Amino acid sequence: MNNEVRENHFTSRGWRTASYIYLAVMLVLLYAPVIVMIRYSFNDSRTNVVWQGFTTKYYAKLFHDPALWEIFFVTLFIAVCVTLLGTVVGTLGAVGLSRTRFPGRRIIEDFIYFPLVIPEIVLGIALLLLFNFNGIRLGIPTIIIGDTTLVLPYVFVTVKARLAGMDPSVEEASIDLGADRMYTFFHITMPAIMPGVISGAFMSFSLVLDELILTSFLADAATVTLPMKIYSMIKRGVTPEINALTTIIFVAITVAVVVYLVVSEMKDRKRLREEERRGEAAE
Amino acid sequence: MAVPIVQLQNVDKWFEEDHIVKNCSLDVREGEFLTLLGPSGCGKTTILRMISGFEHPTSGKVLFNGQDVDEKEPYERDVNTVFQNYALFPNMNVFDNIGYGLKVKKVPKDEIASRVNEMLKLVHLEGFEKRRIHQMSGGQKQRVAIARALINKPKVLLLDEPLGALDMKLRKQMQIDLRHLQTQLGTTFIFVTHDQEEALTMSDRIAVMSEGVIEQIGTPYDIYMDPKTRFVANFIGESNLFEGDITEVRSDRNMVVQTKEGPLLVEKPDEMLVAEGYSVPTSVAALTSAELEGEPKTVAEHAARRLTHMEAGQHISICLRPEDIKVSRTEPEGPHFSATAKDKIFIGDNTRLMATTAGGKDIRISHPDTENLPEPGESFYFYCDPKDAVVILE
Amino acid sequence: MKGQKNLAKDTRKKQKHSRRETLSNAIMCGPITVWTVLFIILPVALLVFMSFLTKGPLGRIEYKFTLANYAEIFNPAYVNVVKESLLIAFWTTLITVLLGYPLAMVISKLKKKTSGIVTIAIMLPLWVSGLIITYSLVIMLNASGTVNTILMHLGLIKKPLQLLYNSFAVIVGMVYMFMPFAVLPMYSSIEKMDPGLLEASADLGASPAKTFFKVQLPLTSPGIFAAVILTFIPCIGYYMIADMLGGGKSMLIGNLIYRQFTVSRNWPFGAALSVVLAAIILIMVRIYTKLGGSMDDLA
Repeated sequence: MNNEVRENHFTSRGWRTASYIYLAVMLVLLYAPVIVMIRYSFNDSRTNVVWQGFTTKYYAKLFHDPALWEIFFVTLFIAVCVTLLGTVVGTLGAVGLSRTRFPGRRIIEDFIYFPLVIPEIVLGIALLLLFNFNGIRLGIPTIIIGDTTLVLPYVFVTVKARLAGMDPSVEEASIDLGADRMYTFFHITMPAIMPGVISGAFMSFSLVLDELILTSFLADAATVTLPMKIYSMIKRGVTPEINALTTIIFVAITVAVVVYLVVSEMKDRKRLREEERRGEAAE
Repeated sequence: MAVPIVQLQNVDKWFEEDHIVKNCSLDVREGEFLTLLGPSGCGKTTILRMISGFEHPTSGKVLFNGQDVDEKEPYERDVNTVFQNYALFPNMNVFDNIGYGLKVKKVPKDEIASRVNEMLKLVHLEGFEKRRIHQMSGGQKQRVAIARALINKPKVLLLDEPLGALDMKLRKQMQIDLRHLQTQLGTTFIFVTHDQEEALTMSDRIAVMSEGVIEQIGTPYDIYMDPKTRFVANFIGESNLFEGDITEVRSDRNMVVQTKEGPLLVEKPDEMLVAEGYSVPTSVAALTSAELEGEPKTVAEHAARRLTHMEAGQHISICLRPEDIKVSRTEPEGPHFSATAKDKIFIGDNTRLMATTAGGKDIRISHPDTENLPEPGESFYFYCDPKDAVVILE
Repeated sequence: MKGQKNLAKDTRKKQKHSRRETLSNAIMCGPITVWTVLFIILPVALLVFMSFLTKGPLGRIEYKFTLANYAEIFNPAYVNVVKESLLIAFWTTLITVLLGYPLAMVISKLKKKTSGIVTIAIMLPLWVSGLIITYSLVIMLNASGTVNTILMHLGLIKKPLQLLYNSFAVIVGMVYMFMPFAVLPMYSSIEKMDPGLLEASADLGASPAKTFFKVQLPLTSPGIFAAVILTFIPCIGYYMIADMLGGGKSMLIGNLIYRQFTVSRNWPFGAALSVVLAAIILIMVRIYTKLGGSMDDLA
């Protein structure tokens, strides 16, 4: 009886076929622009319209553009700095704020989430005003400050989620056994929240690599990051060079993400296997 | 008398607007197994956490060997805790969990190894060194938690409902093992539970708590046989409570109490007997004299003072344990009540009889002799030995 | 009363005797607190402050208090911009949820492992770069772009359609940008739902449609709600898409603000617009959290 009901309902053959088709269409739509872009980056034509033959000359051109390399390294430098800063401050803060009560703590916590909801343009302007009022010259440091402000809530949230899943008495057990709070933080808390810290850091890094609005508000005339460069190129019109550049970035980050996911998946599996083996040995 | 190893002096604890612990005083003697017993939310865990140092009293003092420890961090106190959900370190194996306390103190590696092995032997977990925590059963985790807490050789071990998550059979086994371990090591155990049977089985002394107040402290025997408050009478074991007024204080050991169900002949409270020069069972006598010295600490001790003198007209309660109620089909001599049997349940070593008195009060009777108990619907008489009735002040 | 007194005493006492604890807490809470005060609270305060100042000649700022900047927003031209922004956000949200919900349902019916991979596949392009996706859409929707080429090949149209540089393009871009983020909360709320309830409903004789509208939809409404918030809020403020796909013709609040700080050099007005935009969004977030939504889900 029950099975019949199921069959009639969502898992019947017709339903299933329809849902697979829907999924396929959505994925095609989602990836179509990227695929078209990649295809054009190898097109030996300046107009993007008709396929004129395969070429890698735009890539070669990019490779031999020293200005682009500099932009690349500046972007990377900013991303690394922001990731480090954001991860350290966000992690410490998530742990600290979750176990301390001090006046104004709620307000601080509310404001940490601010960059998450208010548009980047508002945050960018607010920070611009701050630097302006204080006569601070714009440049790489101000970009780092801005981007760190943006990524902080992401790290904060991921670490907080890990902390929420942690039994608070585990930390107390450590303190009870004679470890002070610092020792406990590094030996007990950190290992437990590490996955959250890593995914927070990873999120920060990819956010910053793609960050345009905040960066363009907080950069001086001399500082250009990769997204800014791409944006200004696009404004001047679609060219095969942009296709090549964006393809490289897209493929590079995709590979990084996939490698990250595969590695963490393999680690999980390895651990599971080991546990099974140990479990059998213990039987 | 020796200085108590742990002492609470007039401790109050407020959480925001909630008064969790109310003016509690408690002496823990060296080497004893003391249980804090009470329903959840009664403040027993808070008391434990004030001893371990994770909470501080709002007012009052916590003393270790007569020294105020208020300034001491949890990691500086010579106590260790076995937590409710074991709180084992998930990122470490059994060996590292147990050795943690020594590693923190930078004890040399080979010494850690030998002492961990010693501990593993103590809790019967040899060969489990390399096991991960999540591969262990509840009972095994519990043993690891105990070994981990004991490796620092604490003067006092605090146990916060450590058996709560175990199934019944394992629980019983662990109760015996824990008690055995405590006698073997001579460590002072302060054990928190809401399970009265567990408390009676394991403890040297029990402190019964209710709503932030210590109601009564005493040996399991005293607590069971001589509850001083209605709460204790109801919480420990089962009781039938009868309210009434003293009508006659006789010149012998007894007095007559007129309850709603009828008259009852009961023995005077032990404190009064002592005051009048009668002899009472030794254990009770020792307790009463101790209770009568110094400042009263518990509700029971306050009561004990007032129990030294009883007179006619006083309103009191009488506590009768189900097994102390005598049943008769024929009308007995002396004060007695009548009742109608409602239900009769055979539970192996005993038979339980539920009945309603003429006054409409439900009573519970427990008797080993099934045959002679009245059948449901049948009317019968019941009375008690004056010695078995416990007087409780209203 | 007594409780209050004791409480005060308690706090004092705590501060006194755990200096080391205080130090380690300060090390942990200090950086994020200082950071939040310096780089979030202070700048936002400055923004509000700026919105009450007067614009002088040549974009200078005069320290004269005025409400003119807020009054200026009611200029019909700007009211239209706000209307247009809300309209685009509305359509984007509607389309996103209508397309995303079935997608979330399909994913939730897949095997656990497959559904994980599919989720990542959906998130991946956006995760990598929203800018690049937007740019690729420009290529797609061009007069000589892929979409027009395909349509002409099929003989559906004679001459290229104007797909780019209008509201349609902006909405397409926004849907692309926010759908993956909207699918996630809907997926997790569908996943959490007890499938037994659907079976029970069907078992009791409800038609699939009735089961869907009476059981599944209400049960997964928190997920839909989160999806709406996750789409609508960023939509109002995001100006890059309107800039690239709308070709400057479609003016949204974000673009208007951007102009005040670049072309128009009217910072006080830009600040006032920013404050209004932030206020609209914060009110929506407040409603969201009041109705039981979690801030953590918005990351």
